[in-house]
Amino acid sequence: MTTMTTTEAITKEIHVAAAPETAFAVFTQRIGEWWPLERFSVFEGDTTVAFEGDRIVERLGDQESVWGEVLAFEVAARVRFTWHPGRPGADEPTEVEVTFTADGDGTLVTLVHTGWERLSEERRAGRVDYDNGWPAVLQRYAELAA
Amino acid sequence: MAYAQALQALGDPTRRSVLEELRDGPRAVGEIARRLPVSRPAVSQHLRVLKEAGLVTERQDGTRRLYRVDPKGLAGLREYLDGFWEEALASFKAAAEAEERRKK
Repeated sequence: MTTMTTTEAITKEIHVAAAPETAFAVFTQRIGEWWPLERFSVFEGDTTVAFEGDRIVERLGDQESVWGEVLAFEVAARVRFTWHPGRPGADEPTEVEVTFTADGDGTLVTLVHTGWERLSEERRAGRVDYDNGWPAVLQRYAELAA
Repeated sequence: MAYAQALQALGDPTRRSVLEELRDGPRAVGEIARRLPVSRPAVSQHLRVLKEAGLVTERQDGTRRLYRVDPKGLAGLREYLDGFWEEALASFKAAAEAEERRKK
């Protein structure tokens, strides 16, 4: 079935020449400084994104878009959040976990994006509208990528 | 870029419903139209856009024209998301390393 190639977790690893404490702090406290907003955002224009309490929120003026909710937050070690940018009310969001592991004098940062399989199965069972699936998550990026 | 066209094609909820109807196997236009609150001409139009975006292929089966999901198209979308995280993480790495240098 075609979903075989599309439902495995997406895993990314990157070595960062910074202590886990620094890497974690920059990821969670300063996402607005490094996130490529000019290419990946819900709103167009001078938009910002930040971890606000247990949510990741993009703001432009008085508009807000919740990209996800924080599920786990272990300082200098791990952050896990739901992920549904562009779809604030997504019932079945995918999930992203980022772990920070000491690696020599730096940090190995591992990002795992999961949930495609679950989405696919539930859509198949007719419980989730395709609207909540990952193509919808991607749709906003398309407007910028085109 | 093929994936950008595929993403654009999927920007329409009805078109996503049409694609969803093909996930369990090939179907003809009429079968899809019966299962959705969409007219046959509209289904044909959506299929044409999906085909141009590389998400759907068609073949003739006797008197019927059957449409099916093109796995290569969906793989392209996945690659796009993969590249998206790669770019975000590269940008994060630069910021974290700049912060580390600043602290030292």
